[in-house]
Amino acid sequence: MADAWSYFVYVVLPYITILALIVGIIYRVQTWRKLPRAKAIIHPMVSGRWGMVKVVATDILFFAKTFKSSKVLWAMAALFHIGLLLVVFGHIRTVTEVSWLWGLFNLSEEGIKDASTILGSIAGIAMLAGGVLLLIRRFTPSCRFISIFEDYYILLILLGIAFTGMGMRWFSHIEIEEIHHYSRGVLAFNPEHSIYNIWFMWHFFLAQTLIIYFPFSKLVHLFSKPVTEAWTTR
Amino acid sequence: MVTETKELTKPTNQEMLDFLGTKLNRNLSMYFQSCQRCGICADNCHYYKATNDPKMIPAYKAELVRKLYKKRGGGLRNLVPWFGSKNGKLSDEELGVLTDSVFGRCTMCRRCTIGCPMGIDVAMIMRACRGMLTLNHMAPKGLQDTVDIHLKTGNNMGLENEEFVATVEWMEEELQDDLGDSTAKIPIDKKGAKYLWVLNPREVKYFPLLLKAQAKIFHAAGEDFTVSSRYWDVTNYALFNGDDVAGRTISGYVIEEADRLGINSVLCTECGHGFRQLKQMAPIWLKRNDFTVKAFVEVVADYIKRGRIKLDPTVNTERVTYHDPCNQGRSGSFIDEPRYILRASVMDYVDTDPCGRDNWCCGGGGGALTMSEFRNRRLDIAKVKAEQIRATGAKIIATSCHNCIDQLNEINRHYELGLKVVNTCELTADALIMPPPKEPELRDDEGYMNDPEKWDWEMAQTIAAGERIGLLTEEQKRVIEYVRKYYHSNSDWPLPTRIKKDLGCSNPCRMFQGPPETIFKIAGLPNPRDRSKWGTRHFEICP
Ligand code: SF4
Ligand code: SF4
Repeated sequence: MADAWSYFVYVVLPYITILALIVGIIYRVQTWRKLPRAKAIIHPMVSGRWGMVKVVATDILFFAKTFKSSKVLWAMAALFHIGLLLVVFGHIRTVTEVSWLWGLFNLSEEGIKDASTILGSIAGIAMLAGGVLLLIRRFTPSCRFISIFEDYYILLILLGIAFTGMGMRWFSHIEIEEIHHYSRGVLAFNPEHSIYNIWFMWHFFLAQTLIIYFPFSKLVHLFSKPVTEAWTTR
Repeated sequence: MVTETKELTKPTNQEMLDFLGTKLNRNLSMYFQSCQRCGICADNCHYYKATNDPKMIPAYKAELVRKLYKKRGGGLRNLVPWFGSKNGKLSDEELGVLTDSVFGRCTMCRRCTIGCPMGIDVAMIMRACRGMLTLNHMAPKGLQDTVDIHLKTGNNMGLENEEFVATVEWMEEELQDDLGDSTAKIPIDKKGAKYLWVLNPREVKYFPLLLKAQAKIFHAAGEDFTVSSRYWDVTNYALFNGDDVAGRTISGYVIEEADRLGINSVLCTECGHGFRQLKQMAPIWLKRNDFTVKAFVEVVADYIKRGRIKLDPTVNTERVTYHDPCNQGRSGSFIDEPRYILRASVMDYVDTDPCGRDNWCCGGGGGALTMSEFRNRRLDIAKVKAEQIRATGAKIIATSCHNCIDQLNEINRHYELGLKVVNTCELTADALIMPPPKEPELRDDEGYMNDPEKWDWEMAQTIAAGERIGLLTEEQKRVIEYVRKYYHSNSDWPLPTRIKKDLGCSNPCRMFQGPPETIFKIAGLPNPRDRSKWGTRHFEICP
């Protein structure tokens, strides 16, 4: 049973995920493309394309509008998103060692591992802390009233992923080489299901469910935010 | 007639949802999926701010509409395939809640959009749903009546055109008396003027002095403008009930009237939504963009900048603040212009906090003033605005929107603010330094005299010289005298055959070596512009 499960997660699911993500995004973008855009000017706020880019970029980089509205929420969101960004960035290492990049910082083999442990832990904790705070905030009366299932669901999954990811680092000893080996196998269409690490398995599984769900969830704000925001500054 | 047939046809639930489907565009679809339900918009909406009722949070109102789209079983079904029922049922109770939410809990001010990190335009979502409810005859009666009256009579208060023309003429007289200047005019139906000036029926019916104030500014600036005697109403409440068909018709009234008069620039009176519907919606509704729309503040700020009018701020000594109408400020980008005007017109100007783009809505927007059923709520949520104004310590609040003025007046009474609520044009008109009345030009561009009374024989001789006619002969003088007498008693230009018959002279055209216009010119008659009545015939007679 356990064997069948890990076979599913390690060997079958990754391909389903990749396919679902590609099809999902194409489908999502197509449905949007087919719909006509509202031609009405929403807010003629700033003049010129550059003014618009400036406003949107400031908001994306610094969460300016959130900051203006609520400093507390801004701190939570910043913590969460920066942590998430660093963590995702760190995952490059699971597929390939970008040695030239580390070379820029003059890091040795050992140095990379140390840096990864320290930075990864900080980022992971930031993300966990931010996520937990955001989840708590979901239960404040007014926020709770407007929240729907999806809001809790996505936060919980993200927290689960972060938690199992950190657990992998702290409570078990899985070597980066093992993961390398596995990810190369996936890319070569010859995956092994040899990593019998409970933390990794759940981490990997949850992450994949989230990726499949991604194009249909509010997570698309990753792509849609610049667009919808640009409309309001047009 | 129209309303009767409407009552008979109630759309089925599926038809309503299908209608909603036709309103779905890329913006709405992306908005629905991008909302994080973060709640930032809560504190940006005056409804929530004043009541602390979570049902007033913009994201919640938007979610109600999103649920409808899920019901439709199309469009957003794609969004979360395994959520949402596809039965397409709408219970009456549900529709009641919706009506209360989209009509009674949003003034479409778009303040939430400004603060929303995803830039979600809740007003657009509300408008889509309002359209659906209007289809089902569930729009508040007051709002729907306003639209229906506008469709029936061409203006939203059902004023007769004669009544309108009489008001305009009366104000013209008043203005001339005030200034002691007979050249101060409010031209009606003047073809080819620079601007077609469109008005709000509220000022025509109840506050005609506002017409005078604005006309005074135009006169001081020497503006070339006109009003139409047929379609002169700038408002369009179909912007608020979501009925795009009515919206197209109503905005078409004004734009087609401009076409008729050969004008391609519309100048709106101080009306927020009227300006926005013409500027931003009419090009979309009518699918054309060969006209320009100007806001009153835009034009006046330009006068001041170019020195076309001079102002003396010492006339207005009391502290003044400005309320930004949502449709003209936030959605119309006129933030600096009214402040520029007011700073030039008054001694003591203060801004509210927040102001400009972030200013609070007065609470009367989105057609809220016409919906009497939500009156109490409208006054409750105005608390935000009232406190904001009170904090400035201003004695006068100016704004550039008739809708806002009505609401501000009510706020003033309800919260006992002791304010004077005025249009910006009133303050500016008071502060105007009038240029000395110009001597009217003796002759117009074509050489005709503007005022026949100023004519004398010396003048006639000068004009005749311009027409290459030497000293006037006795015979010619006789014709001229006759023509003048004829014009004096008939206010008309005599046909040459008539002259010939009455005087028993030779052909007058030959006598003056030209068309009859030459005679009229020398005789000092005004320009016989409207030749259609008589012009074609006598050219045949006088080759
Ligand atoms: S601020 Fe914008 S994203 Fe946040 S809940 Fe409101 S509408 Fe949604
Ligand atoms: S548009 Fe204005 S009234 Fe409507 S939800 Fe947004 S802030 Fe509130």
